[in-house]
Amino acid sequence: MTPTRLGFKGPDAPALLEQQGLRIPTLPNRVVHWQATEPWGSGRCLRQGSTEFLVELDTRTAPQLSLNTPLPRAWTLVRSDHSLVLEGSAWRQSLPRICSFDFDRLRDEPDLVVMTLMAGISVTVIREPPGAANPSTDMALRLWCDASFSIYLQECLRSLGESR
Amino acid sequence: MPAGNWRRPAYYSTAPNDAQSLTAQQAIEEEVYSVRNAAGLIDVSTLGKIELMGRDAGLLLDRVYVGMVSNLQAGRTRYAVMLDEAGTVIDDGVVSRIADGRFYITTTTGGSTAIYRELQRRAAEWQLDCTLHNLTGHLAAMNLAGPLSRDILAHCTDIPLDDAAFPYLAMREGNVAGAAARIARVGFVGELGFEIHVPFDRAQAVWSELMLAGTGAGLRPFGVEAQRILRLEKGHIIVGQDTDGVTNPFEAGLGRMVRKDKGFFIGQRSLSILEKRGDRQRLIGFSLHTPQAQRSDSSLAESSLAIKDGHIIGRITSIAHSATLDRTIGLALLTPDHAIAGNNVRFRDDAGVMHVATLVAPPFYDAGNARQRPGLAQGTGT
Repeated sequence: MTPTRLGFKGPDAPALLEQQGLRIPTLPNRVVHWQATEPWGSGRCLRQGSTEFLVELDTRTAPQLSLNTPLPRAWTLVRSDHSLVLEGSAWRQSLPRICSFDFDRLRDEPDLVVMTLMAGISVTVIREPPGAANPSTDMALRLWCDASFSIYLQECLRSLGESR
Repeated sequence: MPAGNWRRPAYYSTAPNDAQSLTAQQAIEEEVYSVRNAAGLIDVSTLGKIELMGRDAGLLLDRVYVGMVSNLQAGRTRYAVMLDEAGTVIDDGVVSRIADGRFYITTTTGGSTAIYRELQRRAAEWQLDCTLHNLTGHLAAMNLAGPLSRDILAHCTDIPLDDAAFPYLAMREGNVAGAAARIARVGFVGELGFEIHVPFDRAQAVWSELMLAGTGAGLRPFGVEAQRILRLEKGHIIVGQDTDGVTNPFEAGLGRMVRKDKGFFIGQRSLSILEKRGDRQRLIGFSLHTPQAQRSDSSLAESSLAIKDGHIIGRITSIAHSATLDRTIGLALLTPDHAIAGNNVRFRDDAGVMHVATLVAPPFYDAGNARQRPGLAQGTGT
């Protein structure tokens, strides 16, 4: 299922999301994972810096934001990032060839949002939480990148896998 | 062909519903013909796209562009030019005012990342209430241009498109082929045109629906090469090609854009010095009149030198054969005392052959802008 992505930005963005009854990360560069029972259903909310949020919902339908109490400095933004999930164990050996970040750090800080370069392009990376969607015991990563670079990144990752 | 971090189609070698492949020159000429006489659709997604929000968004733009932006009304657009501290033209694009405290700008393809960073840095340095969002990779953009573009677009949107509801240089938000879209009625290629911005993941569907809607009207996709000819006919410059690392707006023929009476803007102090010093070069159009040179295979090219009495007096920045005008035209940066419309200059090609050209004040095509505003006047076509 194609997830729905929304961006929120601005000094009042945290308040806007909290007004909707949503759990948001209290610290910058952290993620919270939403369950199906939460107001907008299952998904994840990434806090990228102090006033920017990427919300990804595991449904096709974007929620209708309440506009009864609009906040002057919070804006909803188009987010067309490409996302993909790296599973298995092979990426741990090959990823350092295209990215300098040590993703083992996510074992100790599973809610960390990593913004780094991978094969020369900007990516946002989180640890995929273990669960029904990710039954493997290996740590899985969820990545987002500029959609216009998605083919390039996928080719790089694929060639990494083939060249092992 | 490379375009910043991406690749763009130079031309489409096969016409729609036509199994026969075309040569590059045939394809480009047919694409130009379609835009001038029916309609064409070009992918312009590589343009930088930045949204600015907050009380000081207009102020930030006033300080980074040479013109006035903060007085734009919501739903209107304006062409804007950006300088560096030395007064050199570094970027241009279209500014749209979406609402109070909310602007949307486009930048050149090559400048998108640098301009976004610079705007962020300036907003922080000046402590402005302005939040920026780089939409370059989030939105795709396509330009539907040509005399039949409005009729084609009307099949795919419920936004009123008549001149009263959607005048020249207006911007509207709505749905196009089911996708949330921002549409600006602007025209880089010099025809009635609509620049349509949609979420990246909807772009293919919107493109396909527009192409389908335009099948009977002769709509065809066009590439960068046709766009370069079309904009050259119109005399629109490409920053970085028709300007160099020292060209100021007066030299590039953009002096009318400079609002000296407004408050501070980047490059303002340098411009006041440069204006007193006078131009070192000036951009001007030219038209070749040597019959054998009126061909696309002319050996003159960008950077070919203009020579007088054995001295270099300038160089070609753009050159193309215009089938519409049936002659080879171009732009050149010349020393000011030689950049006089009506004068003849001689350009030397790589083989040492000299080609005589007459200097012309651009545009070469539709000087009255009637083609872009067909509701106001009847265009003559040239």
